[in-house]
Amino acid sequence: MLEKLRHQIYQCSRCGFCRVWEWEGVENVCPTYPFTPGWESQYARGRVRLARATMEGEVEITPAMLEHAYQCTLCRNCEEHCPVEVPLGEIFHAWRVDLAAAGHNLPVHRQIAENVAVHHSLYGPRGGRKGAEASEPRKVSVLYFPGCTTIRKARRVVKATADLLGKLGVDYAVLEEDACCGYPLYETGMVSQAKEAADWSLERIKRYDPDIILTTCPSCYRVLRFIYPDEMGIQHGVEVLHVSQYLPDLVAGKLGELDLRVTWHDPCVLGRHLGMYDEPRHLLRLVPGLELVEMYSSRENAQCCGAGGGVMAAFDAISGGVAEDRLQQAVACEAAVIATSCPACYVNFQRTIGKAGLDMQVKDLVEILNEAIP
Amino acid sequence: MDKKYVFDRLAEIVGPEHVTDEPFILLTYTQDFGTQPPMWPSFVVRPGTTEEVAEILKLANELRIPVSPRGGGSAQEGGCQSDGGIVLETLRMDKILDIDEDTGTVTVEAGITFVKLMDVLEQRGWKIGIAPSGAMAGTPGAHIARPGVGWGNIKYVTQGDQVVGLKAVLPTGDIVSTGSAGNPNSDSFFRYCLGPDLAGLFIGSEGAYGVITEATLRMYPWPEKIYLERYIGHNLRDAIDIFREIALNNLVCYISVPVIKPDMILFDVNVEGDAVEVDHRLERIRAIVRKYPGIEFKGPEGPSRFWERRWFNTGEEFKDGIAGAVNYFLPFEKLEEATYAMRAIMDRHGIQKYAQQMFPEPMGSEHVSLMFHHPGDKEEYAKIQRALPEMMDKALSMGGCPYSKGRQWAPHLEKHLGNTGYWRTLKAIKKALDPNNIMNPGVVGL
Repeated sequence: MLEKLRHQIYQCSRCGFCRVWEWEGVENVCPTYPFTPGWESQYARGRVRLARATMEGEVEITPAMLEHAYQCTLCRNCEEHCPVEVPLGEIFHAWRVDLAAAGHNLPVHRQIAENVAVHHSLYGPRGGRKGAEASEPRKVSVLYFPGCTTIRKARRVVKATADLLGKLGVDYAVLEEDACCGYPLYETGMVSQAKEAADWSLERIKRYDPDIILTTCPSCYRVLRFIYPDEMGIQHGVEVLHVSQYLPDLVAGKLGELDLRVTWHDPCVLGRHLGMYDEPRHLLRLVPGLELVEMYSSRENAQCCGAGGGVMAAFDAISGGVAEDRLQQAVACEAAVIATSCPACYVNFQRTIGKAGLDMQVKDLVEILNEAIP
Repeated sequence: MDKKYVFDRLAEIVGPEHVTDEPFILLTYTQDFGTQPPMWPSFVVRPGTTEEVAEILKLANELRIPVSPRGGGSAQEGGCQSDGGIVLETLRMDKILDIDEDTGTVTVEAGITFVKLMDVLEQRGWKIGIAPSGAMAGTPGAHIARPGVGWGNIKYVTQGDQVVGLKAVLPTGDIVSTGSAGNPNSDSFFRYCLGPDLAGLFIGSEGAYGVITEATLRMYPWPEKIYLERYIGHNLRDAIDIFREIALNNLVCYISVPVIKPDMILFDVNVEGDAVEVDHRLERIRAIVRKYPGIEFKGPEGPSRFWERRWFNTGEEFKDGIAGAVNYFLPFEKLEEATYAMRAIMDRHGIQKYAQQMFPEPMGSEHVSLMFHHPGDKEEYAKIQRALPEMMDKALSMGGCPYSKGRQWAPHLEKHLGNTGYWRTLKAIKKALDPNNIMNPGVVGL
């Protein structure tokens, strides 16, 4: 994979603009860098050099080097702010693919892949909790695909989405059984395992013969909508929509007043990867009484929550530090709620608010909309 | 060298998390932003305080290990490389220590990035004089050590001219405060007092005499008005005459000449002050320009757009690759000859993509030649490596004086200056301060 990007790797001019800015709405170009010891290899400039070294067989790949490679959340803030427009996100993903292909993974990511292979969820077996077994499949208009993290770690989002779809009179079902879209494996470089997960999940999805696959997770959306056909050769032929695309027409005119000061956290995959900055903001602005305020870093500049790229699973302290940094931006703009539409951001913020004792609530977009519809 | 022993001693000083001998990390410290060949250090260490720097240098002096200071790694002449020694990175030392609105000075640790410093000052209604074009990554410690120039060259001259005082660590570990801070009862508020100007010892020494750990710089109230406008000329001699007259009359904050081609010279003027002052200066500038036929007025839009995102935009010119840079000062009268001479060498070597630029000073100008290549292009890299020595030799022969020398200029400086009292004095100071030659050996030619 890296070999295909040789020219792009050599485009890096080593200017170092990808470290910190603290200027024009960008604090840390690399969100994790301040929470690491801070070596060159812990932000984009050094990582590009190491990707090149991997491609050219210049260095021995050690566990420590793998840690530095995988401390990147793949948020693409460096790419957004690279003055010579190096496709850093693509390079860092290709680097992981090559590392994984050579048998170099972090143990925790290998465990996740095994969990998906055996239990169809990042999180392994379900334990004792019931109530999430497969419903009897039937032909539906909309199949809500919550994805692993939402269904296991953000049940309130599943419930809010189901409630909302019900209130809106949608013919829907929720894919309650464990089914991983494969994105967490894809982003940690395990593409063939991701494809196996994709095949398994699509087989479940097709039992409902849906017209639309609806997601509340930008990663599920990206992989189902784009990566399956473009990179995995899977043509499922079903329309895939993220809630922020699906809901505007349905909720218009039905939303009651919410006296709430909300700031929108752009999930990296929804924002920088897919360019969807306006859709969720448009939905929030439809809610009467809701005041939408922006953080210091927003839209293209939005700081990552620290969860992506497999970082939350592998580097708890780094992930939590980045999340607290981001939450402090929400506190600074005096929002009562930090809203998002990504289960990884949701979970990372929720646990960090608790740990740091912050006076802040995290809500998913659908929770807010559901509250606004009586 | 017993590497484990050295590692352990360094770890005792800074903590084990701030020293490394991991080959994959060392690899990322083998080069800067330029085209000097890679050099592998044995260790990289990231101290957090002046006292830790002092302990590191004492250890290095005891064990005779060379030490190369490094800021943001964004210079182009290989000044922060180390062959088998210690790279001492200052980025953990990133605090603003004091914004003194009484004396109009700001004191910072060496490793803060310029953009962070300038953003904080701007929010409080202040600015520094010289902002380097690599402000996104560059640090005051490194910029003073070169000493760098930047936006503000005509009004504020160089970063060295902005220094009020420095705190530096000598190769033996002694900590020196310069200027008024040399008096233990005083802060840093005045440079030329008490005795000889010791700040000047470190400005431009590129770490050969010690490590700058703190700097006190002048700061200025944020101007009421900043106005830019652009011109395009087609005659280099006329353009240089315009630069001279504007500069000698001190009418601008800076003139930027980012494009010099055989038939086109593009230049922007930046004027700052109160509204009346700016308007008056503009009238005088336009009157000077009007004396020369064929100069096109391009208005404020282009340069103003650039100015809004200036720190970011300076990086964009490197889309053509990493640049071999030959930058030096010359008096105005020699700029035209230098432009043609540098161009002739680059053309003769068949350099595919190069840029020529000027950034005038009050007494002359920085003359810039940048030769771009992507590191995978070995053929182009070889051409650049052949052109560089010729260009540096030619520049020095013409009376050119580089400010950022690093390892790139070192052999050429020695060749042209080696038989002078100036050179002998530099060497004598080096020997007196650094008897074991541990401080960044090889830079400047020391």
